[in-house]
Amino acid sequence: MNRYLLKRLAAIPLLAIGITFLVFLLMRAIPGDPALALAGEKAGAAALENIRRELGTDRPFLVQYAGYLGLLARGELGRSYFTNRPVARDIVEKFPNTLALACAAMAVAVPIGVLLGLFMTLARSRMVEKAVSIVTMAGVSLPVFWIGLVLMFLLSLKLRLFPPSGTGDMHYLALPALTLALPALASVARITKTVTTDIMRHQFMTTARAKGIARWRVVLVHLLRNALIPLVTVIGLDFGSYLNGAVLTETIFGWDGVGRYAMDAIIKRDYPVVMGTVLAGTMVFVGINLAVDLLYSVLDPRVRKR
Amino acid sequence: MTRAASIILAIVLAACFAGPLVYDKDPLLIDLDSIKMPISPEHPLGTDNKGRDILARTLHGGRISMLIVIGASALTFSLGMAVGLVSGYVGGAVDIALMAFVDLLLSFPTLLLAIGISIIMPPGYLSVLIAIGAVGWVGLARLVRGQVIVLRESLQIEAATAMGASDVRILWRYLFPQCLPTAMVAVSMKMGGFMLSEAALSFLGLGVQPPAPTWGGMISASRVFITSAPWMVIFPGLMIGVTALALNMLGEGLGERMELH
Repeated sequence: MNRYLLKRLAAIPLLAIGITFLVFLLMRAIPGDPALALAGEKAGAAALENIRRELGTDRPFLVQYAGYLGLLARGELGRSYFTNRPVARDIVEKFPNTLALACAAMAVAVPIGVLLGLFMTLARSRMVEKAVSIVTMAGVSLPVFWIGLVLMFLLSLKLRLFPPSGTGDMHYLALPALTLALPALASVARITKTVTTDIMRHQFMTTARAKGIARWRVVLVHLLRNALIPLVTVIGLDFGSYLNGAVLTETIFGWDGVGRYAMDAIIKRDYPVVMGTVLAGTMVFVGINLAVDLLYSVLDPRVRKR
Repeated sequence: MTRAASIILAIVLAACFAGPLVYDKDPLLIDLDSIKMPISPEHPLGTDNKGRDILARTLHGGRISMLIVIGASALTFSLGMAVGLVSGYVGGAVDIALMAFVDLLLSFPTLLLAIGISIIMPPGYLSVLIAIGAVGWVGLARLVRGQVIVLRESLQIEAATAMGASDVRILWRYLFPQCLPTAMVAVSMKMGGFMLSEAALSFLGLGVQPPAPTWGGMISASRVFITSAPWMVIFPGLMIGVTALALNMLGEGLGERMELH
């Protein structure tokens, strides 16, 4: 277990190098010049040259990349071309907002999703099961930005329950969190259904019921405990798609998180910010996968022995 | 479920590709005398902020989305198949390098990667199609590679090698056809997601450019008018939802038959 963990941890810096190289390559290939964006269309050639020298974008590709790696080694992410603020500090400031959004969404999505999934597995009527199944599939098929706009229209502009956009307390959090939660809820329900249906086929489930154990106990102890590992895995792996949703949701609701920060930077060609946010997002994703692996041994004593 | 999905898809496809022949209003015609008109016999789904007919725009927008989904699926299929076959069959250092690249791509937030790829190129059909396809193939490559590694050891391939079949022949005549059904189902399971990615890129202004209508772009443009003309938001979103739902149902139905998850 420990050796495995070490191997996984050792792969992270390699992954970071791979990711930064790929993003660097991508950003350099993008047409458009940050110097031009900064100085405006009317700037003279000499002024542009000056800005390029200041930003370092006039140096050869590999030199720039090596410079960036040096920066990373010192724990920095560079400064934004536009605000001149350190990217690392911006991300640290905005990350709690994104985290709050993600946690609020998951706090709604996971319990309701699991219950809904269990309901589909245990439902006695095929019709009911089919109907819920189609509704949850619709939940993962509707575009998240559309769900956001419809919720904004109904809950904020018609019923005036919540402010339509902005960053702030629970009032502001409600709409984007709900938007992010709905597709996640549907996806958790679908996963739960697949996983639990699979376990129902096992003989120990038949035995448990044949022994006359109360139905709720069978579900709670035999079914849910066995479903825990695959559930945690798939929900963890799905986290990447919740990050995607966060980019769109934050953009629509003006939520001051890392997703919107990344989106703005891509449009403005703010290279250091794009690099920093993509790197941070990927690291969160990798970290979650690692955490999921570690959770295995907590959730399932059988894994510990191996 | 597969049948219901196929019927819905056939209807949407027919509506988008044949519909404009019957309902021949110009989706680009600006009519400043009939701005933001609600649902009426003249305009069955209303008009937008420039007086353009929303039904016509929705039908034409569907063509763009469908063509991109089909193109991205073809790209995903070819890239995933090619990398998976080569990686599994050649093995060794090639396999390690290709799979390391696949792992690298899998650790990116997919939408950010697609955004990054799409802005390298001038926005249009091709940029969206490539951005979606270039992100989508990695899972397929893994799947095909797994199959090839098992098949490679089979007697059939051993016999073919013994009879002097070249590597290219083995890949093309023996391995490719055997991986084909799984690969096609795996791609069909991704199509609903492709539809949503296309919509998201258009929504962010990185899709096929206006004045050409796209479903995501129509929703994006209508954001400002959500109180005064909510129908501008509703219909394109429903179309994306219905089409993606049908694609997802089809993919899952096929996946269940093949026992793929």
